[in-house]
Amino acid sequence: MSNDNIKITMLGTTGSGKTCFMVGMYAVMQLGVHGFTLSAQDSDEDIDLSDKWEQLLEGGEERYPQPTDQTCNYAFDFSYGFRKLMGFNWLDYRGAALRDKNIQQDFQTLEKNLRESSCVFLCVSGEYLKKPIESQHELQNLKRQTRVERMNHFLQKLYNENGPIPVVIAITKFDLCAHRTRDDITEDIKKLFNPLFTNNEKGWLVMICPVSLGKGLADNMTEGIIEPINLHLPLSFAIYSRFVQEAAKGKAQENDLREESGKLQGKNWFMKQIKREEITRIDSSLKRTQAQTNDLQEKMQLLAQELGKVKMYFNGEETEIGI
Amino acid sequence: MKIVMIGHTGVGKTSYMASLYEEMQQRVEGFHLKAGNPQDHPRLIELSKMIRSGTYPPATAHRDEYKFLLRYQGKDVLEFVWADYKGGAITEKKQSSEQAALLEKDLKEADGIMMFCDCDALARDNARGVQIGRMTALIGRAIQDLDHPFALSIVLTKTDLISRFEEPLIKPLSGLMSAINASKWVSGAFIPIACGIQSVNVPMPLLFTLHASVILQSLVSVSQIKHYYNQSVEWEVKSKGVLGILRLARDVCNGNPTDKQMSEYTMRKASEEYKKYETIKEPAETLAKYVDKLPSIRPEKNISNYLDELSRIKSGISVNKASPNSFYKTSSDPFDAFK
Repeated sequence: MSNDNIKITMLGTTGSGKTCFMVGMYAVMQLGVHGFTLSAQDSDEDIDLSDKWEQLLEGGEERYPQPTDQTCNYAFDFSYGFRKLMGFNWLDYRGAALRDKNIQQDFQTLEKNLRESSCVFLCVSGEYLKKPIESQHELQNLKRQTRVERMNHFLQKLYNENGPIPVVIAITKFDLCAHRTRDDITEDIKKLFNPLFTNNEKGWLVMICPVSLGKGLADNMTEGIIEPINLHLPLSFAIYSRFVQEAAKGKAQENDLREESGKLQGKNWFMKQIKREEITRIDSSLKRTQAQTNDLQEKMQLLAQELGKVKMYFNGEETEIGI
Repeated sequence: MKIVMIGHTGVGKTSYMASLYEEMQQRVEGFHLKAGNPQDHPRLIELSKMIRSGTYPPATAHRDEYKFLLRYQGKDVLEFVWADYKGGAITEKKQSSEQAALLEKDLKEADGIMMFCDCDALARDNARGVQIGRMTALIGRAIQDLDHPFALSIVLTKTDLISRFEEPLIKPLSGLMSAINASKWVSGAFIPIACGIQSVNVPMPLLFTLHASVILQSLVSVSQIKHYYNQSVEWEVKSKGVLGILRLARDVCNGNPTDKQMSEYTMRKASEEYKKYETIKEPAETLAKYVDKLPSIRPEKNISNYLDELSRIKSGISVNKASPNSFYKTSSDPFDAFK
């Protein structure tokens, strides 16, 4: 498995809570969740993020970070039992980029990062899901307000260029729509992101995850208590999905090596002697690949436990986490 | 080896070190501490006397480094360097603060870490002030490539200021506990201490932090003994039979050491290593007994278990004998360790 950082890109319009989500996720995971921890690769960034979290905890009019006015790229290490499982880059860009023309630099950075991403987080604020979508007109209106049309457009483009990648639909500020049932909200999300839930064998793996900085914020945004909910799950899913891809690659490689080895083993004694070095090389590669795949499966198992009850869809069908 | 203390300003790191030094001038379970630099001795003793009279030292202004020697029953066991930082270093950016950059470097090189948490602040629900998140991130980043046993002491200071241990004191540390439990190499323990007119459990954090290193040393020693012993047996086997006679003739002609000589040489090495092992075997066993009394962090425990254990040792630990189920069992004969 490569030691390079993977990329995670988050899409969402201005005010959808992307930065708060990241700051909250970092604060929660920095302390540790079931053995998993997160640390900024640059310790100075850790201080910046901790300061933002402190500000959120303090409350008051200045509680929330200002809308992001420039693209920030954070690098994190995701660890289990202090051992690094994966490094990743997180692109925090200004939400207004979803409205910009193609010539603007943010937009181009965003497109480039999306192409290189291992997982995309789509952020929809719970404030838009307070009541059910009852007509096509309402749906179109909502798509416009939340920039979902733009997000779907990006995903389509991404699909055409690279094929499907895992997607998290994070319902931020879920405290604002928590009065509705899980099924009702899921239905509305499916309507908004229809292409991801159509059973067309396109291979989209999608997780819907409600997240919030605290239930009490719905009633009092400036002074409500910060008690993060589910903030660590989207990231766990992103890392899990990456491991699934790596494990699939490992399995394919294992099969190729086994086939190659089988062919060589089937040859007569004389040929086997000639190819002895090659046989040894393939056998040791096979053992190495098997060990790597087993290691990945152990890590997947850990993350699967974390994601146990999360709602997930593959090709539009609800599915369960598998190893 | 290197020990690093980490904690916010005013948590009591320097007070702890001075109190520990003075207390360990007398033998504690056979262990005592000697300053590597003779000038540190009077300074630390003076500081400790002040602390015992209720006067605490001002905040540390910059990084101080002390060299110590741990001795057991009058014999040297381990030399170590102890880095003391100003508390502010944990909240400064390394780009603008040399102290912060040095702290990060020291943490990466550390063989044991003591994480100081102000018990009084935790009890007053001020977990943010204790900087647990920041310390966890710094420690996590420093030990992510760990491949040997490592001790992390969570030192709960100022226990004399609280009447009893309650949930808010431990709960902010539950994420860290889960990471310790998930780790293959890190062993952690809560150690409540008090430094001042009446000191409590002062030697424990140091002895816990050192126990992983001493045990690691003894494991390395055992593996060396095994290595040399096996080599010796191999040479002995080679020297036997017709082939052995032929090899002997060849070695004599070429002026090379014979198989028999090689066997004796490697057996001598095994024996030398065994002697080294003997010097650390006893302190390792004593440390194991001692740290067994601490509320070690284990997956099967819950918060109420920790609170019970902490309450039991709040006024001090007395050590009588080792628990028969000690995790760190050491064999009386090093070869038994291979069975």
